[in-house]
Amino acid sequence: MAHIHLEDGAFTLQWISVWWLLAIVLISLCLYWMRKKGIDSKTITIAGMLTAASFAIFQVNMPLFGGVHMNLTPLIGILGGPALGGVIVLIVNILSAAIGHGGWGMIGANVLVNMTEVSAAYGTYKWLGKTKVSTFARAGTAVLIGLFLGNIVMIAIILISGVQGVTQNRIDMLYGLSLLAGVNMGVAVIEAIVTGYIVSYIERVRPDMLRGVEDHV
Amino acid sequence: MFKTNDKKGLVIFGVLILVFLTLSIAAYVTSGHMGIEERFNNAVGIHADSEEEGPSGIFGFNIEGNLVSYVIIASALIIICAVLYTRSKL
Repeated sequence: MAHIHLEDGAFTLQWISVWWLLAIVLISLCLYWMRKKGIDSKTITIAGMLTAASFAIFQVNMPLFGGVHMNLTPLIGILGGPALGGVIVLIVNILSAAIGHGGWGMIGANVLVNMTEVSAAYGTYKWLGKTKVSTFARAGTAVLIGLFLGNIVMIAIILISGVQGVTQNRIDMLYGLSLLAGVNMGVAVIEAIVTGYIVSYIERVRPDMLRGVEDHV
Repeated sequence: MFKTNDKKGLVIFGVLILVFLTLSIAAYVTSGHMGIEERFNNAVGIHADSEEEGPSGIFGFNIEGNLVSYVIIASALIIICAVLYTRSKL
């Protein structure tokens, strides 16, 4: 849901390269981990479905707060795990840039933001499993925490990189981005409720799909 | 009806929802009504021309980026999923 919605050219080439490089390192680690653990056809099918669902919903601009969108990254984390989730968000970001939603140069930075959401949601969901709270509350809380951390990483990346051609200082930028993150968290509430219901439903009809959350790659 | 831990989990989730909803309404009132790109440009200090009014879509929902490319890619992904689903016997 947190997504750096800036055009190519907003960051300097140096920072675009840094974020791309970091994203490539993380994706390489994900691929290495997946290769080490092995991946079956069932997991690939789930990954395909998560990619399709995330891509489809990510492009839909919702008429709320003037225009916002969801991207289901926490659901990807809960069902797919952090390693598979990392690869999925890379594909979704590439496909999104291909249709003109987000710049090509921003893919590296956006992958880092989305990987934070995926990993934090997965970690929170798994951790809350020890407390034996209901699946709905567990998944919903995981979404809120994942998306909150995603917004923080998004703000950090923009503040570190700076934006070319603006006169605004970092403090004003932090204020503006905090308001933006605040609005984003309103959408996170909707995404938390939707994801909570989806995960609860999956647990009821296909619990085997969630069983893997304990030993995800 | 609910176990104690269930109740506790729902209460924590409810409190988080209330906190984030309050924050988001406050942020929206402070920043004003604007589209995603306009909100982003405003936040970082880019003075772009005001966002062009695109098609209003269905009930205000519309697609970002190129609609034709979106339909093509989404259709391809759905076909891939159907093939994977039938082959993996998920």
